[in-house]
Amino acid sequence: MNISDLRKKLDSKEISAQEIFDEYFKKAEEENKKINCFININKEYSKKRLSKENNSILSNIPGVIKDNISIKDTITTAGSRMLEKYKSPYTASVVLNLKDFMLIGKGNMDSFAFGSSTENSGFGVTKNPLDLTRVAGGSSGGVSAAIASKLALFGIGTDTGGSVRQPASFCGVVGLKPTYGLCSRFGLIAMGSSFDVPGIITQNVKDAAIVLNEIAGYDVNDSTSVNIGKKDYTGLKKINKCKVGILKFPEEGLDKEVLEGFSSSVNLLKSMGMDIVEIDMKYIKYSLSVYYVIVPSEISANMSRYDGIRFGYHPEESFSVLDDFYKESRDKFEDEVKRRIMIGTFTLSQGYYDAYYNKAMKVRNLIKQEFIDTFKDIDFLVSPTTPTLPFHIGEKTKSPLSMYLSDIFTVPANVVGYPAISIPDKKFGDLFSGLQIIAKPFEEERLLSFANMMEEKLWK
Amino acid sequence: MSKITDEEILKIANLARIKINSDDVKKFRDSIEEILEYVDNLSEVDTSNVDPFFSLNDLSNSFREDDPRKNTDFTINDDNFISLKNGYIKVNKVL
Repeated sequence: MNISDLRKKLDSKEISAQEIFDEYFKKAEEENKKINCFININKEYSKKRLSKENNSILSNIPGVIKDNISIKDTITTAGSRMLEKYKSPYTASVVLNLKDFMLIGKGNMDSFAFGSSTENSGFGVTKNPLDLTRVAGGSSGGVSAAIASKLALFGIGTDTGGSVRQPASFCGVVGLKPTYGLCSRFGLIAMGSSFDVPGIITQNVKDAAIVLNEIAGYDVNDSTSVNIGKKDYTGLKKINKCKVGILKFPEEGLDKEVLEGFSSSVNLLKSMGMDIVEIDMKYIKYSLSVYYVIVPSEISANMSRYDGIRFGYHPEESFSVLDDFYKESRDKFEDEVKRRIMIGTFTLSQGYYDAYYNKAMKVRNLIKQEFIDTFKDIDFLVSPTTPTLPFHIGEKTKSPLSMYLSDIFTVPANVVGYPAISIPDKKFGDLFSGLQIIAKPFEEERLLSFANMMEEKLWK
Repeated sequence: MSKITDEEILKIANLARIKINSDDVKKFRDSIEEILEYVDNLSEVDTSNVDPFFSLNDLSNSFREDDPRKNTDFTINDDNFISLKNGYIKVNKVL
């Protein structure tokens, strides 16, 4: 079932909103026991919101929203015990743009989106529906698992370093990270503000295009939102000839399945008559280091609002020293949150600022320039989405660095703000490898057309 | 040479208002050290004539007209605060 099909059935009254409601919530409640993809299931909320009219393309279409995206008067935990009881005071712009969709639940995630497996969630790990012993990826693991289990037709996540594309790849679904500035960040719980974007997770590329059509647009409430006017992303075109860059990367540490899937896609592109260029970038390999200096720096500033007064857990007892009050509240942070705040505090501190933060900002500029120069000659840049197939639960929790390395292919697009999509590449048993396609800023139209064509060639 | 000492861990934890007990110091130091060592490869890049990154879309200040507009639909949920009184947030006494 895709969005267009369900829309037709709703419009022709072949199926009623109530029937969709009953069916999807029943399934959500059952499956959630197995895979723990929701922090909250919003049955009561959606019952009241059942739309009598079908005047928007997503009216009564089941969707899931990552739990770091605000929806007024509902619990928004960001995956952390720190916000266990926090009710959003307003609704995020991207959610308002979805109008009268049917909210099935709020997706599980690594706390505050810090992680690549949902193992850092304060509410337990999300299991991969394709293999319950493996992670669903992260940080939007709950949303991806829900889409893979067909508990909804679309999901909205956030992508700071691959948090939409990596779990989408791990769950064998489609994940789109739009250009920074195309979709509003207003109402998203901030992580790394110069990297964060809302993203889309769907079962296929066409559905992603439909959802992007709804959520993209200028927002006066987000000062980094860019006004490019209204575009239609749903008219997916056939792309006959274009220049595709194949990213050159070291094969060390990559699963052989990932390499196999990727090389067969490269061969497919050749057989389609695409102009293939091997791309060797000098600075891209520093992306992960740039990311792990700048993002914790932004995190340490963004997380200062959780002090027990403005936001976060309020200790009930009295303290004689204000610092003790703050520390008691901030003790609710999960370890990975504490770690990243500490790294950021360190990299921004006097004596280290130039060596870390400023240095990383300079290299970020070099990477940006390198992307601009590279994309003068190519239309798309392709690579695997992740270096490995989904790993086992617990496999990477001992070393945060090994976990960080699973984002090695996805992080560069966030460092430079370019749009990127992950589609299932090749099937290995129950699991999938992912193919990532990066396009020029604000060229989502072409990116989706190209991804749609690849999806058809690979899977139909 | 180690990138970060136990004393520095305790110092930054204190600056960030994070409670950290002595058992945790080593755990955090080891993992933070590993990350700082990894990001050290940035030092091999020559950035002598490079400006720091400023913005993705070359945005400058984002101004808007000072026209009256509708407020964001906003509610204050009592549950989010210790207690509210006359629109003020009441917090615990700190002497």
